[in-house]
Amino acid sequence: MTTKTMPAPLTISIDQDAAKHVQTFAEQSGMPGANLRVAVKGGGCAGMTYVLDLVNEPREGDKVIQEHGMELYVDRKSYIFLAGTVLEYSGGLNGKGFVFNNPNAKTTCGCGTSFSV
Amino acid sequence: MGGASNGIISANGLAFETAIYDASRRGRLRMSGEDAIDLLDRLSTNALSELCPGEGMATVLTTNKGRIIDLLRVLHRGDHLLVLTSAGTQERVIEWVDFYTFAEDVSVEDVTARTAHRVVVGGGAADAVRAAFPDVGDLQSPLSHAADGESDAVIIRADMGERGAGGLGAPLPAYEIIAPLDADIPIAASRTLSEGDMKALRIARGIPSHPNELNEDRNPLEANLKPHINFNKGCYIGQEVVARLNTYGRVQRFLFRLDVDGGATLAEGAALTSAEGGEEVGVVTSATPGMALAYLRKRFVENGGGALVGVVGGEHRGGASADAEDIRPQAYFEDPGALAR
Repeated sequence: MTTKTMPAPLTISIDQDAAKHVQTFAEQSGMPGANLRVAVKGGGCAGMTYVLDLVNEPREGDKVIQEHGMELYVDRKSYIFLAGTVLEYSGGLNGKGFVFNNPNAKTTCGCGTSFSV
Repeated sequence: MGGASNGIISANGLAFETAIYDASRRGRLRMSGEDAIDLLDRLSTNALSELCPGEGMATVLTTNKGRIIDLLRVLHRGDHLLVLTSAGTQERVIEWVDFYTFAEDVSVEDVTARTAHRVVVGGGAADAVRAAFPDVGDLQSPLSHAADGESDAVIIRADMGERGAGGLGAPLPAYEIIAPLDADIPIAASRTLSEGDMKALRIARGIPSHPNELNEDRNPLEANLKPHINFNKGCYIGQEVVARLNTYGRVQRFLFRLDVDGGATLAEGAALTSAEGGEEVGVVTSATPGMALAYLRKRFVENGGGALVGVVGGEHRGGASADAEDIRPQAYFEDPGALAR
């Protein structure tokens, strides 16, 4: 009998440290308990730019991902370019803040905020 | 005007005349939605976010490798943008904008088939336009525009060679009219320009065109589109490549106008070699009797340039070499010192 290993579904995830920082920023912005919109928009040197936004509600048609006590909202078109992404937080003096580890990104620009697929 | 043999573009050609050209085969798009300017600003080289109603701006839509998709002219019509594309590029532009539209409030409509597009050019153009559309005030700055209430036509100030390029004389007065297909465009013109006439005119003024000079193998700097790049506006697609090419002087070739004194028509797409060393130094992109546009290697021009050997085509004998002494490059860009950087 052979067992078939199914690949993990491509989703978008946030690690615990990044989730903690989102919650801290939400409190500092007067939006305690807010969730995170993760999106892509056209522009930036490489073609597409990452967008993060604190929001309370998902929009119609958004994918909703629950992790570490918070929700990520992703619109369907952005999801195509973000599937498999892990959102991390790079802190400290040399840190970059939120970092998108996006397996779809073929190239990124010098500052790392835009990418091409 | 060097060796130009075409009457339309001879020494004082059109200086005291009014000519009209049917440019309807060029593309016209109507972009609306509150994010339209912001999105186009993020996709192209110029600072469109600074546009106010009644103003217009040329901008280059570039790939993420900094190559040219098209040179657009964007007119702020108040409640929408009228975007003028090259002939046949409107679908590519729509696809590009659609691809990069995520959550933005933007819609793009191709209005090419239901509008007419005329160019009125020559020393008498301003008077002819004023007589036809008396309610439209003076249009002073490049790409400023206004609508004629009666016909719904949009009249645009669009002088040819408006960058004031050295060596090619003052810009030639020109206006463009975009109107519904059934609208009356009562311009009193002394002559009608054919496609060939307009091509000769744009070559004489050093104006690059899609696809001959502007295509995805070329970057905006080598195509002499620097006046349409804002180096302070921040990110747009291809910005990093374009900025690097400019900062480090990495552009390897530039667009030149060539004068061919014998009046021959050079073959488009054919290589140009230096008369002295026989080295391939460029390629002809557009040609008309006595003149051509060509990309020439920066190194050749920096080393003093000189006469070129090219292939004669078009109306002349195919495959024959033009007289080596007859082909002379003329820099036409505003800042010839750019070559030395």
